[in-house]
Amino acid sequence: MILELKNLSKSFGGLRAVDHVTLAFEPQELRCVIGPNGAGKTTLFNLITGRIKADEGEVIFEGKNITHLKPYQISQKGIARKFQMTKVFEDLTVWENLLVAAMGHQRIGWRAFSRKVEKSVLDSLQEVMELVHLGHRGNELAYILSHGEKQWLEIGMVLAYSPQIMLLDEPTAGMSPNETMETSQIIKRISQNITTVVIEHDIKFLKEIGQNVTVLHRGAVLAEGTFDEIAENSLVRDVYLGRRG
Amino acid sequence: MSILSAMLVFPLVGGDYHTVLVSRIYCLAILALSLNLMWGYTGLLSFGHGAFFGFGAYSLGLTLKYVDFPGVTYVGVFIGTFGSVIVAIILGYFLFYGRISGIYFGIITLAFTTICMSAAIRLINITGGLNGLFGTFLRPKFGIPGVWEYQRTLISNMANYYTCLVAFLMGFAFCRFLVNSPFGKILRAIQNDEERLEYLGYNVPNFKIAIFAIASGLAGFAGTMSVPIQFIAPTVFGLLFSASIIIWVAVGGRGTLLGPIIGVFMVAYLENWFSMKFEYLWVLLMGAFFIFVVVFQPGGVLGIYRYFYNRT
Repeated sequence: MILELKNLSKSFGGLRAVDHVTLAFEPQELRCVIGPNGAGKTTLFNLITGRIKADEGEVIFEGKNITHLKPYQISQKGIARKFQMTKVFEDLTVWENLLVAAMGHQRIGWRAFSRKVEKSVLDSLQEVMELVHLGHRGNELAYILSHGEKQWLEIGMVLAYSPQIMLLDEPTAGMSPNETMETSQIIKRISQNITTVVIEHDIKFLKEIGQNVTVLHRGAVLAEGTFDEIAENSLVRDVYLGRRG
Repeated sequence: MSILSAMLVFPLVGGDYHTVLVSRIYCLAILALSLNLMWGYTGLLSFGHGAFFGFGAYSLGLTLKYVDFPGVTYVGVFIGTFGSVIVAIILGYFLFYGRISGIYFGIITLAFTTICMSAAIRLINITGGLNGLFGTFLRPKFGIPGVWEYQRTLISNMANYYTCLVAFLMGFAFCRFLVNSPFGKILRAIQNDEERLEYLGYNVPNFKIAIFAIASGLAGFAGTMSVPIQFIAPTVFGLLFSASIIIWVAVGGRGTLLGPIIGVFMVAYLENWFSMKFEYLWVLLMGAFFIFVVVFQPGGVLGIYRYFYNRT
């Protein structure tokens, strides 16, 4: 187990956003977290990465309790995240965005004043750009990229950070069907050696990716299994079709 | 290249008055570049940046007044520069780990510089209060500390001009180096999206403290360079001076290397010409300038130039 969530809970006022969630993730697995809107998926990511404080429960990463650490400390341990609303550095070029991500992994400190670090990561960042289908866009400013391309850039940044775990929050949000297909190919490739957890809604995407799926509903784990098992699960279908509240 | 040669020969053709004026502008240009590092690249707007300039000036001035040994000038410059760095680190530690940003950062830096002004006025026995620091002891001397000292005190306007010019070129080269380095990219990233950096393993407050310290040290250095050519008074700690720095950077073009320099030259020269004739109107005009830039052309003068350049 690389990541373990034990009895994790968070309420906002009277609303139980995450309700005693216990989950385990194995190294290098690719897991999809799905559920209707409001199920608590992003809140779960927020709890794991330290963006919000848990009311109850623990987050254990590689055997260590990281529940109450600050976000920068948690990410330094090797957890990288792509946000639901694309977060890239708009005034920096594609290449500079990736450079900043790569330097974060290196805990750059004083070496940031030397340009040697740029040369040392040049090749690996070129590889990252190819993997996220932005191969020749290196010198373009991030703000001129389309929405889908910005998503790819952010995925690239997560990859350039060389994390142990990638948390991808709705990587295909706002994408066309073609882009969604491309993204599923991208994610299948990059997740081969890194534990990857993806929050998603798009069924076609899930079909392409979904080996292991966890379904959340109202902050609690409803079902787990392969995509086919979940698709057959009547409980899950009821929840998605609104037959069950 | 031609600009460089013009700068080199200027004192020979410019005449005394203008030589002194331009010397002062070089010092203010370093100051503007330093604020630009903080505001233009990192997004930290300080309303008290003049305090470090003042700290530098008073440091060298007081050192020259009370201490006398060969090479004391260097000690004074060192104290002015690195003293500013240390003050900035301490202040920055509380501000940035306290997650104070945006307008609150501006307010606190304003308070800080106002406190410095009060101190400078009240400690009249040390600083000369509102009368300023002056006297015949203000003669920076050159040479190698403890070993040899240039016998004639270099108080000529030409010597001051070349000292300030060298300081300015060094300051500019330093800023250029910083801005083009990976560190410079991290600064711009902070301005764009601090939170994104935190999730890439960066302890952002540390980086903010670093740039605050660097910019303040540079401002302190500029202050020490200005000692031979101007009157050191507590008004350097006032809001008007710190606001002026902001205006130079804004008018010239924030976030670029040339912008602040253009801003300083334009505004300082205009001010000099104007305030002789319309002294009170000048402050009003500066404010109008600033509003115009903010509303119509945030890129400042450099932005206007680039707009027309790109259209042809």
